[in-house]
Amino acid sequence: MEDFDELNENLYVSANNANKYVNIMGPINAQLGNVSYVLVAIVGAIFAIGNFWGFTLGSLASFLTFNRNLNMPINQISQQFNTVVMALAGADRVFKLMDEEPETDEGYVMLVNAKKDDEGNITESEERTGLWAWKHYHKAEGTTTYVELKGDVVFNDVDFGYTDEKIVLHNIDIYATPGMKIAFVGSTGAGKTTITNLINRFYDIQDGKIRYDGININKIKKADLRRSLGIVLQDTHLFTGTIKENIRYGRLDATDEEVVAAAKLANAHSFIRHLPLGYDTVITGDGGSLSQGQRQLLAIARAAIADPPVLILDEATSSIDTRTEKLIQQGMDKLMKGRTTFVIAHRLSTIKNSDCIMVLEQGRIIERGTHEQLLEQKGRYYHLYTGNQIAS
Amino acid sequence: MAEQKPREIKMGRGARGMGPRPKLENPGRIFKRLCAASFGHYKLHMVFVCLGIFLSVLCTVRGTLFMKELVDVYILPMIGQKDPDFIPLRNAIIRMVIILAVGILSTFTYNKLMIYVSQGSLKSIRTTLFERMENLPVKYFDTHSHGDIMSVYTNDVDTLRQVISQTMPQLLNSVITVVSILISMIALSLPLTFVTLFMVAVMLFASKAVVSGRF
Repeated sequence: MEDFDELNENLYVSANNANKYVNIMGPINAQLGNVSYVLVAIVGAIFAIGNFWGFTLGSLASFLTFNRNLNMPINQISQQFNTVVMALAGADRVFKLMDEEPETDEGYVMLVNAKKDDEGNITESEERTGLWAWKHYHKAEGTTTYVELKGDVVFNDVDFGYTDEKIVLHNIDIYATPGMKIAFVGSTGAGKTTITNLINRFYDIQDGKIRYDGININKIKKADLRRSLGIVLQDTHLFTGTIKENIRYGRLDATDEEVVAAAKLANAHSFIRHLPLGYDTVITGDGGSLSQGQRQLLAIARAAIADPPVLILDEATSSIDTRTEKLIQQGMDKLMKGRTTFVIAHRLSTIKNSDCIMVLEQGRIIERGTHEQLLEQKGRYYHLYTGNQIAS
Repeated sequence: MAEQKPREIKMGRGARGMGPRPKLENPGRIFKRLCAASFGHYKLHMVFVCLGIFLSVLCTVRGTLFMKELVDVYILPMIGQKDPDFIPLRNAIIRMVIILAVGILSTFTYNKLMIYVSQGSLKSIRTTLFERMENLPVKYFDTHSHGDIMSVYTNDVDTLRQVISQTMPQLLNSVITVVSILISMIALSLPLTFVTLFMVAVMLFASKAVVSGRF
């Protein structure tokens, strides 16, 4: 509040000063204009009476009008010039935003439709087959290899910092095989969300390698990489459109039946059916009329319809009614089946059945293992889980 | 000069604790780019706008010059005449009405054209901004506050609208007006012009004095 008061006060003082100036200059200029008029009238009259230089009464009449009309534009010019200069400052900002470097992408490996022939070799296919592969062109040999999309994610000794001086993640090693469920726990700011930001290359790492199905993600085209990932975050951004369209955002070529199937998987189908127009109900701007829980269910449906091999789940901790929370949990569980999942977990029930739990502290993985293994260690995880102090 | 202080606030938007407002480097380059962005697609329109401004100013000046004609030719000689012939006066008035009507039409036309030009160019600026913005890396949005980004769209683009559609034509209008009035004044009487210019200089000097005296 004090900051606002200070800003407000500064504005008041400056505006006051500016207005003071304008209010003084206005009358001053007007009076000087009058003096000019009178001067010209007197001298001009002398000229007209004496008919010096062919100056007549008519000339004086015109001249006086000109005199009056001259002052206004001259004052206006300086004001208008200032306005233009002010606008140049605004234009500068506009152009700076326009000139910002867009996201660069040196990736060249693409995700393509594939089919397997009898020996198990993968080749590119024109139609949608449901089987996907990475098309990897090797420049050195001039050959192209196809790697099946499975959802194998490996972090190899990864270091990362938002700036080069401050590294926030150290020596991260993760080996996620297809279908594995990996949970990240840790205190706020330990780096959980940061790790998930790295998988889809929102940021690039400083050291180490991240591999997806054996391919360095730096080599993969960003759009294709992100297409192979499903993300369910705490905030769902809906857009103005029908519910069907909002769910279809996960995969634009989905059919209506697929939309409904995804909604059923996400446990969203029942609440959608209760809406006035069902799937054709229009949601306006970011879905204000839906509850937080319902929006989450729609987010899960979006991820379901995209059918990605790798899933990133950031569990919502905001207050949702228990019934919807149960629906969300069931929906997420169904969604996670068979996919490599990275969960940022807050609910114990999600963590318990993970294949591997990683405990993060200040950017390092300090413990890893299954729920039972970690409890045995009686380390940080045990402390978090039981809320007990560890006897030293 | 009246806009000095408000300018300080507007430009130093991040001035919660930041020092003096950032100086505009190379305003000439920005101005050229602004002109290209606003008028580039509307070159033909702008030709007509400039024509319109010229015509409008010239008609106005011609109207003022008529005063001399009116007094010297149509009023003074006829004072005291028993049966003055007003026909030439009537013709002269009709002539002036036509000229002034042309002036009014020109003003109306160039203003209308400018609205069209400015809205169109702003739309394309906004579209370009948004398209480029969609391709920016996530890092940009993490490092720049949403408020600042939004403010570019609302505040800055709106200032541009006002400047493009009103201020720039007005500036051109003022400059042409001053030039043509000066020429007419010189044609009427050189010495009196000097008197007028002298007073103008006094006024400008007074403005400068107040600015430096106060601040």
